[in-house]
Amino acid sequence: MSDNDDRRNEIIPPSLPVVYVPAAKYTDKTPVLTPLLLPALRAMAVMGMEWTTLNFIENVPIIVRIATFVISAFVLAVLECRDWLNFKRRHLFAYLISGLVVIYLTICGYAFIYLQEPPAPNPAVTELETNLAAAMRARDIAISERDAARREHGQVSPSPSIPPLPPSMRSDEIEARIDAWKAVGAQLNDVDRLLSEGDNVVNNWQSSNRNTLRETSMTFTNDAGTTQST
Amino acid sequence: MTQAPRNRLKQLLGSYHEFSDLSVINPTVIDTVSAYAQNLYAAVDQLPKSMATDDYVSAIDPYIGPIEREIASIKQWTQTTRKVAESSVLELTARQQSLK
Repeated sequence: MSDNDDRRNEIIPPSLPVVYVPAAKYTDKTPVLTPLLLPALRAMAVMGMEWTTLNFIENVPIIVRIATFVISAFVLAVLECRDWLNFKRRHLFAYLISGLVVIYLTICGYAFIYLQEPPAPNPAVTELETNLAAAMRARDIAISERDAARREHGQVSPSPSIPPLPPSMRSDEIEARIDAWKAVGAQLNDVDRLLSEGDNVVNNWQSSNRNTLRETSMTFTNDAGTTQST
Repeated sequence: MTQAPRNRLKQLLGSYHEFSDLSVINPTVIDTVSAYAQNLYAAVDQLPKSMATDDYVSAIDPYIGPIEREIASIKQWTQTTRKVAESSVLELTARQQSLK
């Protein structure tokens, strides 16, 4: 009795790994093309999802395109390895595919929100341009002051680029600059109106017919600064 | 005859050419959308008066994308320029107050 037990322990280790045997899906009655078509159909379904998404979110950042591509690849891999995942852990396939679909929908939702609102300008660029304008203003004023000082001391060599201004005009010059910048702001309102016309064309061209689009695009073209004969 | 916004902006900047701080504004960013708008109008104008919806969409679609992208770019530019203008007015006003 004890000899038999010892022999069994020698032959059969206490914990043998369980061999993964893929579930048989086909028989000798299965048509030749069926095992070929099913993976191809899965791949086409995932690629179709990817293609449709990229059409839908055409103008999103490159990172969104990469993310949707990677998620689509994972979805295809999970679909292909369904039996393996369920062999490793019960419901693992369902968890993974659900998680990937949720991530995919989240990315699409982000892209949709991104498309609804124009991207905000880079704050660093705005700050740089503001600082550049201030520096150029300071340079103009410094040159004016230098030229005024030279005149006071009898040296007449004003800067050719900046017209000489007596010191009493400095306040007027500042006021003129304020007016100039305010006028720029008013001109930007006109540019906003032009962009609204462009948005009107972009958002409504599919629902309008040729004649309507012709009218709106002509208005947009004329206001954008080109002349068209009607 | 009214002028296009981009031309008015260029004229305005030209009339203040001695103020070099205004040179940070680049009005040529609006020029591209003007060319795209002209392309779209030319394409629409050449379409037959009656055509199938699919043909209409496929004929016009290539002209819409560039305009859409350019408009997004100009919107960024206007936001940036408006902020620069606002901060410039604030700074100049403060400078003016200090002179009084």
